[in-house]
This record gives sequence, C-alpha cells and structure tokens, in this order.
Amino acid sequence: MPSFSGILVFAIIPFFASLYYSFTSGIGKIEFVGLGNFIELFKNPTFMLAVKNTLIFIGIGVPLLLILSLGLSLSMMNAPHVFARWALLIPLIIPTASVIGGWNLILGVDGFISRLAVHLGLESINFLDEKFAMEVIILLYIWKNMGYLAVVFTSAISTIPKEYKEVYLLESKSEIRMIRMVILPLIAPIAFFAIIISVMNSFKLFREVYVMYGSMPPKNIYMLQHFMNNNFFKLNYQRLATAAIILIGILSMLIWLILKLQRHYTRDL
Amino acid sequence: MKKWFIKAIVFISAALCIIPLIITVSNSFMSSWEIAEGAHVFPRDISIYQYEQVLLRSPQYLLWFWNSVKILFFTVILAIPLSVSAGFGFSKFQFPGRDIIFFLYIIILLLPFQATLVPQYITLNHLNLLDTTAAVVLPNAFSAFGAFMMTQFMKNIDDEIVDAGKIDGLSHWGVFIYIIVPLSKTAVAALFILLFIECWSMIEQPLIFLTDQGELPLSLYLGNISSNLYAAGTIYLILPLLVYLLAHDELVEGISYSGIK
Repeated sequence: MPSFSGILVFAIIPFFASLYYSFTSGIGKIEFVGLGNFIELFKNPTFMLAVKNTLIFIGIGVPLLLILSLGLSLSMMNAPHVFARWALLIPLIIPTASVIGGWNLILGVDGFISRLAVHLGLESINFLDEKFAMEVIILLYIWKNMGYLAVVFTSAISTIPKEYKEVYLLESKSEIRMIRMVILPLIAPIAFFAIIISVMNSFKLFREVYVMYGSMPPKNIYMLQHFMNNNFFKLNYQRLATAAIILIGILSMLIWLILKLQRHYTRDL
Repeated sequence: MKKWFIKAIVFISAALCIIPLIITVSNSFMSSWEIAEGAHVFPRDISIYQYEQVLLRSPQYLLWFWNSVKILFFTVILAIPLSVSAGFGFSKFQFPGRDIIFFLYIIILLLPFQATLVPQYITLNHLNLLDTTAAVVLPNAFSAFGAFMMTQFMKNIDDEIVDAGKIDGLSHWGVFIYIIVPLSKTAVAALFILLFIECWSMIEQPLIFLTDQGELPLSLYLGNISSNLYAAGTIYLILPLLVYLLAHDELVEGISYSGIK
C-alpha cells in the first residue's frame, strides 16, 4: 500500500493544484467586484455573439451528428463492412490540418463541388466564402466525429444479446420495428454518454476553425472558445475567468440535466 | 434490393471520410504548375517537386516537425505509466475518497481547454515553464482521460487473479508489474494511439503556451502556409496513419471501453 499511495499522490497533486487555481483565480476576482464582471460580460456584444454562435452550432451540429452516426452503425450491424469500419475512423486519426489542402480543393471557388455545379449548368459556389462558414464547420465537425461515435454505438449494439433480436424478428418481420422496439431502448444510456462527449468535442473544433480561417474567424462562427482566446491575448483575465465560470456553469448544468434525464429514462424501463 | 441500398449508403459515407485524404495525397505529387491548372484528382506527371521544396528548402518545416516529435515523445513516455498506475489504484484499491476523486477526474476530463486556460497558464508561469516543450507536455502527461480509460479497463480484470498473486507472495508492485500490466496491453495500445492523435494535432495549447517561433509544433504550421501545402500535409499524416494501420483493432476496443460505463 505505501508504494501505491506514493504514485497516487504523485498523480493527484497536480490535479488538485489545477483545481485549486481554477477556483481561486476566478472566485478571488469576482469577490472584489461582486457581480460586476458578470453584468459587464452580458452587456458585451462580442460575448453575446459568441454565446449565440456556440448555441447555434451545438443545437444543429450535435443532433445531426448523433443521428448520422447512429444510423450508420445500425446499417452496419448485420455485415462486417471491413473497409467502412476502417475508413470511418480515418478523420479521427489524421490531423485536420494535414488534409486542409484537400478540403480547400473540394470546397473552394474552383473546387470539385463548384465545378460539378457549373457542369450541371448551375452557378459556381465558393463554400470557403464567409457566409457558408457555419455550414462548413458543421460538416467538418461531423466528418471528424462520426467514426468515433459509430464505434461507440456499434459496441453498444453488440452487447445486446442476439436472442433479443431474433425473438422479436420471429414475431414481427419488420426489421425497422425491431430496431425501434429492441435496440434503441437498450442503447439509450450510451446515447446520453454520446451526447455529453459530442458537446465536449464541439469545443475542440477550435482546431479545425483555426486551420481553415486562422485565429480570427468570420463573425458568424465566432464562438466562445475564440472569445476566450482573444481575451487571453488582450490580458483581460477577469473577463476570461468570468467567462470560464459561466462556461463551466452551463456545461455542468447540461451534464446534470442529461444525467437526470438518463436516470429518469432508465427507471421507466 | 434493400440490402444493396444500405450497403451503398455505408460505402458512400466511408468514401466521403477518406476523400480529403486521397485528394491531399494525390495532389502532393503534382508540380505547382499542374496545381495552378485547376482542381483534379490524379496527377498527369508524377512530380516530387513539392516534397523537394518541403524537405530540402524549408528548414522551418523540419524544425517544427522535430518539435512535434519531441512533444509527442515526452508526453507518451510520461502519460502511459501515470495512467496505468492511476487506473490500478482506482480499480483495485479501496481508499477514502476514491469515488469522489474519480468523479473529479471525470469532470476535469469533460472541461474544454478554454475553461482551464487561465489556471494552467498561471501554474506554468509560476513554474517558469512557458515557452518550453514542458509547457505543452506536462498538462497533457497528467491525463485525466488516460486514468479514466485505464480504470474502466482494469475494472474488468478479475479480482481473483490479483488475490491469487498476493497469496503467491507478490507485493503490490509485483501484482502491478507481473499481472496488471501484461493483462492491460490492449488498453495501453489504445491509449497510445489516442494520445498520439491528441499530441500530433494539438493547436490550442501551443498557440498560447509557446510564443517562441522555434518551439512551435507542426500542427500550427500547416494553417499558415499556402505553397506546397499538399506535400507538407502528406508527410505530416504518414506517422498517425502508420500507427493506425498497425493498431486499428486496439483503437476500436479502446474506444468501446471508454464508452461503456
């Protein structure tokens, strides 16, 4: 036991130190000015823009991602699909920065989609234009995370005993109803986990936005993570700490809500 | 008929996933003149012009590549033993506060980087580590994710095996080294790939903790250049791709373990 507790202390202390800092720096400053920081922040148009864009992005991106990857793993459940299983994880593996040239060729003004449109008699489209920025980053988000979630869902589906599916199929020939009545309720707990992970991963999209649009992205995808980054470079720590507290607050409320929903749902089962 | 339809959908989505990769690699074999002619997939004449430019004419690329390798090496060397031993502790020992500490790990795991940016910066500043490789390595080496994943995996190792080892006279360290570590090989391999990906494509941390141009990793380079982009990207993705080809099964298993609670 002593040797083990040594390693535990070694791993845990930095963790507690960071936790300690994360609270003191924020709370210490807030105590001086009361709620002033919060009020100022909510009056700040850039912050409100960032909040709005983040909510739009999560509101559209996360449900879309979940539906697509769940659909994909349901369609893959009866066959091995070796190539597909291999290819789906590729976007997760390779850094988006390394294939940014490829994306530019697909989406750019002289890119493949645009040329196909011209070929079909339509006007050329430049998806790299700022007005499509939100669509493009949602596409990148789905591209990046779909394979990961498909693996999570597939492993959840594979833990369901085969007999359940077979018994249901004996009574009803419809496979779609089998999916709805047997598989979906049984993987619901994993779906809650998947929602949490997807929301968290949406913040990691900072990387893709950075390589696509640089450190100053167009206004319509200016999100909380950019707001925080920019205030860091402006050395505005109070505002940054306040924004961090709000962000942590929103996220923990979200997690709490999802966990509560999960508990409610599994009790009904 | 219906089966074919489903198969086609699966195939098309899989193809969409790798198309940007294919286009990048195939375009890396075009000369800059051929690229200027407009977007097409397959090069007419295979040219290594871009590779020559990247590897021989841009010392910055090589320096940043080396920085990426350095960051990766130190992070992995530190993070894997730490995660494995933390997993051992959380899964095989009862001690006061264990569940609370584990819960804190999960919370830390879920926080986006931007939320912990200031405390991390202040800590690194106090330790005089800003602008060094350690500034990017250390926060990642104490990986909450690694500890979480190893714990989930080791919970499935039978306690009876551990007890049997103890009866045969092994100390805690003996159990750890001769029983737990060999049984966790798959999880370690999966953790290795996930850490690899994380380090190799890291952008947020170096952007803030490293201001010295000489220390930056390659992931920041590719967003800032316009010429020879395809070859630079291709060289950059070879390593992760190789690791993936070698350890695909372990990765899938690892993701499944972190998913099932």
